[in-house]
Amino acid sequence: MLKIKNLHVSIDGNEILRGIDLDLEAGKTYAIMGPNGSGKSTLSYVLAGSDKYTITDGTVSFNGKNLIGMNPEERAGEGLFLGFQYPVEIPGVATSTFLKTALNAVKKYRGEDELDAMQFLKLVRKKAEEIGISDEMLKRPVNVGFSGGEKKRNEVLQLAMLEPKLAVLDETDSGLDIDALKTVADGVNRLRGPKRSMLVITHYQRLLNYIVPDVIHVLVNGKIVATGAKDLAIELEKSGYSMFTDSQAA
Amino acid sequence: MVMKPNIAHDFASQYDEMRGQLPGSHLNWLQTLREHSLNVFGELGLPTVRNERWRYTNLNKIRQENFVPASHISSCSKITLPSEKFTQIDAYKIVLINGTIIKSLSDIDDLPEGLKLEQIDEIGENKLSRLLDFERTPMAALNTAAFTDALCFNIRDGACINKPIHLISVAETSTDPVVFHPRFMINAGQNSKVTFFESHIGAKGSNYFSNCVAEIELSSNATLHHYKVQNDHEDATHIAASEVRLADGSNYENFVVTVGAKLSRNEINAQIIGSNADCRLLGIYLLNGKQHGDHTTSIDHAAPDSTSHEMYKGVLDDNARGVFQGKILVRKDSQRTNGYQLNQALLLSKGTEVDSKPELEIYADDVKCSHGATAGELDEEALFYLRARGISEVVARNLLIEAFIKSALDEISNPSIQTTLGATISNWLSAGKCND
Repeated sequence: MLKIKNLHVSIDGNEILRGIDLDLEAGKTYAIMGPNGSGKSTLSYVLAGSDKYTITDGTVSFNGKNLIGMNPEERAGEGLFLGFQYPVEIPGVATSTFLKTALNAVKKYRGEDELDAMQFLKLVRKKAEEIGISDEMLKRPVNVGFSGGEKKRNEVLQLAMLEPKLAVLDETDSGLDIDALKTVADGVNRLRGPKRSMLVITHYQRLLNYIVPDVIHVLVNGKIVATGAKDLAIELEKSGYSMFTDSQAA
Repeated sequence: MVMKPNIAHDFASQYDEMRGQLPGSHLNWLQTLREHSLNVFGELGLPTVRNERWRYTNLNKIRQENFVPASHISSCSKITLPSEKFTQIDAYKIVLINGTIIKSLSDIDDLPEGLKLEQIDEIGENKLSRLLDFERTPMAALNTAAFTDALCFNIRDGACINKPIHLISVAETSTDPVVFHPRFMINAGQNSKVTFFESHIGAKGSNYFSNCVAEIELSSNATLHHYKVQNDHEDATHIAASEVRLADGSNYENFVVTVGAKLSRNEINAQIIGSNADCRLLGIYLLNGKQHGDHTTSIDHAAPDSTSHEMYKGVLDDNARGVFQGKILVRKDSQRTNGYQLNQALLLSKGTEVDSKPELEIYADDVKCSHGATAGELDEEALFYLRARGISEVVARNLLIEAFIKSALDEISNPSIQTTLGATISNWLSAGKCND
């Protein structure tokens, strides 16, 4: 599904990612764990197509296509989705307008029929209800005045509507209390399937109790320093990231 | 010292020569008024940037052209009005071509009870120019000397006009650059209610100068919603001055959409002479290329307990320049005045410029007045967020631009006009008219 080879990325001349290799298969869920500043968010932004970063070396292919040459909207059309750590507030754009514009743009890209207003309304109501988003929230401007939990649920709603092949979830747990975390995790788990991969990026093991990954990678200082099964997360929770940072310092 | 030819004199002599041919030459009062206006204009000349009220708008473009007065068109000319949504509103239509009314295109015989339209022969003495101060608006002096038709819309006391009145000013020029002077008055009687919609369109030819003047008077408790779309040709010049007087309990709402003309100015001077009146001056300007759009307002609170509310939002691209000057004067006895003013500009490229000059002059001590001005760029984070959801860059930008101007559109009290203008602007944006 996604193949990253020797990816080097820098911002303003500072190298953040120093040679990442990743191979994600369809239908599996992956976690990337790492301390603050390890490059987790950089990786997710680079995958989504942010132009703030410079790719200095390496390749990224997504279902056989070169991802690096695509702009953000093409990546979304191809089936890549980034769940933002900090969803952006957009005053003046109603959530439902945003969702409909995005859904139809992606459908057009994929050569599918666009939805008319009635079809869209039916679909969005059904999906929103599953995630606990009210009609009233859909009318509000995108993320404006939403609580932390509501913002993350809105991300999951977008994920559910756009039906990507790969969802990268950047710190989806940050700022959530345990109930909100469960709601969001349930929403994500419902969307897992044999053709869809998930890449869950997190600092803490907590989220991985609810979204259980098949494989965990540990990212420290721009490199993947360990790979393992879900037990790795529990180990990390006990010992912290210092075992990796110390060994690098030494 | 070499004297530059003063175009004001050219205008003055042009109209001096044709005075006998202008409509209404048989009316003594009008002849006297025109003569006086021409003399004043000849003395004042075209405003220059040394005039504080014209500091940011330079009329050199007019000085360099040899404008010819538009010839009087009396019969219907074969003209197709543009099919844009805002021209199709269900309304009593009055069509002007080059400042002259075209009866065959106008609903002049189907006007409702309560609305009376008077033309030059019927207006009568001492009505025209009553609200004008030529020192303040020299271009209105030229208009008065030179207009070919003056339309006076009288709304009877207590009348509620069921459909908007739609004044469509069309420019039709050939090879010579022409100048014309649309002129109208609205007298809204006591407790009357009316919606007035003004459209300015360039139908044929590009180089023209439309010099508009409106005199608007609201009697006690009258409500007038006044909307305007200025979509003149992109090479044209559009200078407009509206003088508004509000009596007690009256409500005036003005909303202008400025999208056309190379050089434009929309000036509104409102005088509030009664208590519990509400004056709302609102607008959107969408400019690109080398367009220059000036919105100058002045609100004179000459009575206590009234409110004024202003909101202008501009979107500038390429090398466009926006100007906003807003003066609020609160006189000594105008206690408990509530004034609000906001001008916000969205700058889409490096070559744009916006000049914002708020001016509060307050002599009463119990007032609430505030003003604000901002200039900013599109939110890059929001743009990336939208694109990451599959929305193309162009559509994402337009979504954000529409979001920016939405708060101004939301101020429009008439919901169907709000929808029409919103749709018109969306179409323009997606066609790249204001954002390319």
